[in-house]
Amino acid sequence: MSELWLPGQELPRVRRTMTAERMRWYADALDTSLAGRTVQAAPNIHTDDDVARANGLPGRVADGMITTNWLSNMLVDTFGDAYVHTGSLRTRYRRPIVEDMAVEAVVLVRDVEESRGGRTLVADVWCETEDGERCTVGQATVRL
Amino acid sequence: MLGRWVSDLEVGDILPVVDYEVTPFLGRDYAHAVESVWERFHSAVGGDPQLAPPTLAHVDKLRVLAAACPEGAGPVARMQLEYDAAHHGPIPVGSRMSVTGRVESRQARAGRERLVVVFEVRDTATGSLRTRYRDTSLLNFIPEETR
Repeated sequence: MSELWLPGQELPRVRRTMTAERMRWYADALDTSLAGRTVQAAPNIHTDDDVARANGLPGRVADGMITTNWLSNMLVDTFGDAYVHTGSLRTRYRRPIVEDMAVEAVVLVRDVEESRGGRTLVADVWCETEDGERCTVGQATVRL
Repeated sequence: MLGRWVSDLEVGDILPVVDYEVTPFLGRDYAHAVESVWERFHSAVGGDPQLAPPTLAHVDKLRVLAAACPEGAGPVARMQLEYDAAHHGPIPVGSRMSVTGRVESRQARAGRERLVVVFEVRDTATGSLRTRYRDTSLLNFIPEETR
């Protein structure tokens, strides 16, 4: 990775709406991965409003890993092998994302640390709603 | 099996090793579901092998929890609070991975119980670490006193 990265730089933002279909895709993918063949997930808090309400939620909510993956994809698309091989990603879910909420994923370079082992890019990452509330927050690193 | 439910787990519990093959289908299907368009998650490119998305570690967590606690989360749904993964090497499809976990902490805060489990994904053939994943979950979304 020869590109010069500086604090304050942002990767191109990704804006998506958290549709019921996106929640369903992820729920099905988890059960499909476990089964090793295509299956549909049983009703859960991510796919069924009644199950979600029974657990104190306003309705079905997105699996936090969906926004984590959107952030991870941005890092993969930009840094490729460098991120996949030796990167890191930490995300914390501060509030549930409900159906049809618009969300923007952001990766902002905070620092590029120099050490004997090379350079490590440190980025603040988050997903925010249209009113600017950060629902997923965290940090990523990539060895350049 | 360690407990009936995940909510039975205690600090210090070592979750049994789960060994599985990372097939091309597993990597592709997960990449589709999370809308990744990086081609290396979908196929080999030139001389470079197809790789599994690093976030597939989340499924590895579920594999181990399913083996350790076959009846699922517990009396109420478990909700993830934090994902924290460090990548130590790529995971090419066709390789076998061995995954285990250790319960690091279990604490009550504001009526909700937090469970922290550290999972390690290792190449079965070489033992080399590929991903270390520290997962924090809420065992109950609704505070105990309000139920």
